[in-house]
Amino acid sequence: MEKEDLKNIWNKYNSKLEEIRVIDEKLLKHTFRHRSNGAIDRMLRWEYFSLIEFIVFLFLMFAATYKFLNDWRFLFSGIFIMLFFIYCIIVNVFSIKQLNDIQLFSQSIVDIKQRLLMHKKLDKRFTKIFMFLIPPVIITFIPLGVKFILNISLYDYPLFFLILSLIVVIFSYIIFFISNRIIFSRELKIIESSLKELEKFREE
Amino acid sequence: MQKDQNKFIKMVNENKAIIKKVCFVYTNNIDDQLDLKQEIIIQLWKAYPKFNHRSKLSTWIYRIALNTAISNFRKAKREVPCNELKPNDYQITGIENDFEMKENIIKIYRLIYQLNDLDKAIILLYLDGQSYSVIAGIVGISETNVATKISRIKSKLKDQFNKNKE
Repeated sequence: MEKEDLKNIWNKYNSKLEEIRVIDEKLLKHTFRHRSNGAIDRMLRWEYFSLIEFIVFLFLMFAATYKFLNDWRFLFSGIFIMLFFIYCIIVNVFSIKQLNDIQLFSQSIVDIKQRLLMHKKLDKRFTKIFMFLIPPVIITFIPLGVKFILNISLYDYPLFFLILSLIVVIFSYIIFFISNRIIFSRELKIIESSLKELEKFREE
Repeated sequence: MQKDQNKFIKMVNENKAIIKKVCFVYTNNIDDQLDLKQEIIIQLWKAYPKFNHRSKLSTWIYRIALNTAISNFRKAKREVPCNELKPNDYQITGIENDFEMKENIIKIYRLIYQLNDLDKAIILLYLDGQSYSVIAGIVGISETNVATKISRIKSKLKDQFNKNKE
């Protein structure tokens, strides 16, 4: 096959394609009725959902901490959990900004690909840190939550609280290490190498 | 609204071949192809009010269609593609009796499908006669880079094409 053949075949095919209708009123109406389900839209919807969730939890924790302000143990727990949710909200907002900055109609393909990879990288890193922080958050959350809802102080039952905390920590870290080994490290490596490839592609 | 819709339908119909080709190049089964087509139309409709006529309409459609295809790659990585595209799905009408031509077109599509996302975009734009500067703008690399890449992709495709023929 010569270079010209490739183009000739394509041009002939192109003229035939012009004869087929690709869009009609029916498809368009269907498209307008249904919300977009593209990858970016799905990611954005998930980020907004998480943001609302974190804000609700932050307010709940604020209410709980405020209620038991006099007890330094609950105060410490509340501040720690609130800091955790503030961190989650910051990452979430940053992530939403990153996704909203993607403009399919004005940015180049390389740029879009890079932005998507950067978003994935941020997401994976955040999930990794999130999973690492989950056990201490749970341990501090349980006594505060129980006190807030049932008005029972788990600190009055130190043995039970200690055993519960140990179980949560051991169980959470086992899950964390397994998932870290199986999913996150590998995925982060893939994202890193894709980013490097993209840089190479741009420079070559 | 109705007036806008009519204008939009007219605009898309005038450039329908672009959408078709992007869908064929970035998917290998009917379900994904339909999904992608719909997604491209949604993105075009969303961006339609922002079209400022500074660039050619076809270039603008190409940009959105390719960017959507690249960011929308969700089901295409299915291990076993369902409803794989059959020769008739490529809608090669008018040349039903030209079997060699038909076969060649399908072969080209399948070879392009095997390239990476960015190479696919470059060769598609090249085959459609877009200038190097337009390709460079859409892809986001320099014109010199485009020329080098086109030459590499072409020889890769040529080798594969001839290998398959043997």
